[in-house]
Amino acid sequence: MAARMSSGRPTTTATEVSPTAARQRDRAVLADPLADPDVRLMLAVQAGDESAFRSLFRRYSGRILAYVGRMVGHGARAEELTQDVFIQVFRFRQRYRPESRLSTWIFRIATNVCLNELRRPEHRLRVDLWAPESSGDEAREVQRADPDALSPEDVAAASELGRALGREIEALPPKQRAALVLARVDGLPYKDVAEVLGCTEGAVKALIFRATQGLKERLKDLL
Amino acid sequence: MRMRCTTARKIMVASLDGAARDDERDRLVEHLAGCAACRHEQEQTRRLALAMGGLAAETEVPGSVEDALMRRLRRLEGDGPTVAERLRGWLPAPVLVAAAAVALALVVLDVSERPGGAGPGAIALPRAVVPAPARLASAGPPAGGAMQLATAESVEPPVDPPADLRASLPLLLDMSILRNMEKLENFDRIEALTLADDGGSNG
Repeated sequence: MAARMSSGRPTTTATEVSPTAARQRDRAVLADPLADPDVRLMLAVQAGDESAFRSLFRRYSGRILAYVGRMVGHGARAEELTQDVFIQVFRFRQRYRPESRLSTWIFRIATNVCLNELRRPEHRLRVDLWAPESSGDEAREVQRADPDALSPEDVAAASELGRALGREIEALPPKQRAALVLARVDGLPYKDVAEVLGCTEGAVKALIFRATQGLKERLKDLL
Repeated sequence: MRMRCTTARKIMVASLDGAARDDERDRLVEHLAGCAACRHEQEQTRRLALAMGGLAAETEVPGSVEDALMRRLRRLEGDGPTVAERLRGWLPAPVLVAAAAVALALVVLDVSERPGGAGPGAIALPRAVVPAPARLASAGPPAGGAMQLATAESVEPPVDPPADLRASLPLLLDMSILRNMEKLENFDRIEALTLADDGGSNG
């Protein structure tokens, strides 16, 4: 039985990636961490509440699985690594501090898990073996950003672009890929992306610029 | 001074994510007004950002992932069956009791035959019964600040076992496995034969 894991947050679209809203959310979290339901959930997990941990998993697993899938390729391995991420969340639960956003902390763990996986020599072999199937997964995932703004021709082009985009994102260098996906798909502000990747905001700007230029070059016929 | 195209393209990417400063955006607008190549570049960047924003931020998670995760966590936290519990499931209790008795008997026999602790079977028992003053006298000052433990060779073995061990011996000897002393007394010889059969790799 497949259970839909809701993050309590609708699927991100271009119009929803609003840095202003993210900054307002940041300020709210910093002003009163306990006002954030995620922080309250995590404090319950720290106190040993198993049901809170399950809620946390259901809230974040969909986003983490999508992110891990883009980082290491979709499939069973992505599911295993998603489990690894939540095992780390549980093991190091006492290290979480309410001053920072929970999503940033979880994405940081997920990024480390993915980068470790990508360093393994077995990973390249696995990616080569499964590469033909990953494009199909991406095609199912692509959604329209703003259906009212585009004509049917645009929809067809966007669909083709979406498929190609999924493939090309997986071909980017790991850190560029992580920065781009976190900022553009998960809607994290550059400050949070920097925290996740353990670098400066300037470095994030550079990573996203290089990733964008690389994608534009590879997809120039579709843009 | 007119902004260079490379700078303009960096700012247009950051601007899409709301990460450009106001003064940078103003200069970009000024640059775009006079640069057709950058206007084309900006349109491509915008289309790419739109397509990326259309990628799903979530994936459906099969229920089996949560079940597998909770199983792994229980194993990590020790809620699952321990090795001893699993062993009890495989073996009947009398077998375990007999195995434990044999192990205990071998230890007791080894200790009684080799009080000087020359072999690996001498374990810690002879050291534990050495009186504290003898241990201190033989140990000497620690070298280089490292902790130095008293060794069995540096002290005389005790003449008699301590009172608590003496009291427990009759209890041990009452165990059924110890009644077959003949087999146990020949244990060393059996072990020696087995080593010889292996080809005498030690000489």
